[in-house]
Amino acid sequence: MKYKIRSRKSETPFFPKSVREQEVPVPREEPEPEGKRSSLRRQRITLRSLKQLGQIAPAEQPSSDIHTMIIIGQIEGHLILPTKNKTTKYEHIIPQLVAIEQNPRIKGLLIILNTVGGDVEAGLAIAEMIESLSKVTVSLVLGGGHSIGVPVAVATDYSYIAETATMTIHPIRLSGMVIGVPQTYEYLEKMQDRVIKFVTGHSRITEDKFRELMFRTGDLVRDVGTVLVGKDAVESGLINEIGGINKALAKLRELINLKENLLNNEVKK
Amino acid sequence: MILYSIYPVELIMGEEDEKEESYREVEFEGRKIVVEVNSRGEQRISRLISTDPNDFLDPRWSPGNIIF
Repeated sequence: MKYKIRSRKSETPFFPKSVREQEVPVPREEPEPEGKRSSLRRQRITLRSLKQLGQIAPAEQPSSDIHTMIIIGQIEGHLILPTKNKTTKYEHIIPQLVAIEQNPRIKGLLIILNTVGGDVEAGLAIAEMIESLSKVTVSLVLGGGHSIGVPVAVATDYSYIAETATMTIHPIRLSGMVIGVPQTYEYLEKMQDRVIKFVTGHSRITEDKFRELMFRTGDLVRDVGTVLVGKDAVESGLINEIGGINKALAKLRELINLKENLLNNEVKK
Repeated sequence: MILYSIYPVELIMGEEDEKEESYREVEFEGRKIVVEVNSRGEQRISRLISTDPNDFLDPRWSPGNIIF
């Protein structure tokens, strides 16, 4: 039997480590025309030097005593949604809420919502966490706070909605995940009751009114339910007031002062 | 899992339209950042995950910045 002797492919040249490092191209220091590109480049170089040389970061601003949390897109639960969805992740929000609760420098939390809904369990979990926070909380619905966004919006001490923002209240539909089970209807009803109970327990809206909005026909084209625009959400008792960022922050300050005064008075007694 | 959303489930769970971009969560200088990794292996900041509003004023965390 004959063996063909194959010529070895040229191996990657070996250099000692010191030689290899010398080959790394050094960023040129040529003056560049002022513009977007050069400023971008400068930022890149700064970031690179920060990481590689361990330079000290520019002086940090004192951290704010009001923190903010943005609930955007779909509220994600047990399943990772396809990446085209913009999501708010449970595993980001919950530890942040724990950190806020434990940080003595943080006095208030502003929740900003622009969500289309999402996972019932995750949404209710976030709402319960916000509700049980000992810090002062205020929510602001911008754009939309639909479906499972509704309990999140009402979980705070005080809630605002922008005049143009909307909230859609509709029944929980079959999402295809629990289909074929005889108890499905009952199960969905139970899930729905959890949402209704939370919303009516944390806002001025009555259960009858909320159910009426949820099952109203003729308002939505493809579904039963209601779209509440800014003022409607306030009039139905779901949201406290119409407002924007200025009102929301002023309210946070007001509630923080109120709480501190109450605490001081208690200490004096 | 039960979705309670105004978007139909087909739209949420449907196939990706285009080639999937790869996003990765990294920790950089003590902040959690979502970066988009491009074909050259560069990591471009896509989202800063923080509750401190001052973090968003820091140019280092601006979306679009490239970290290595």
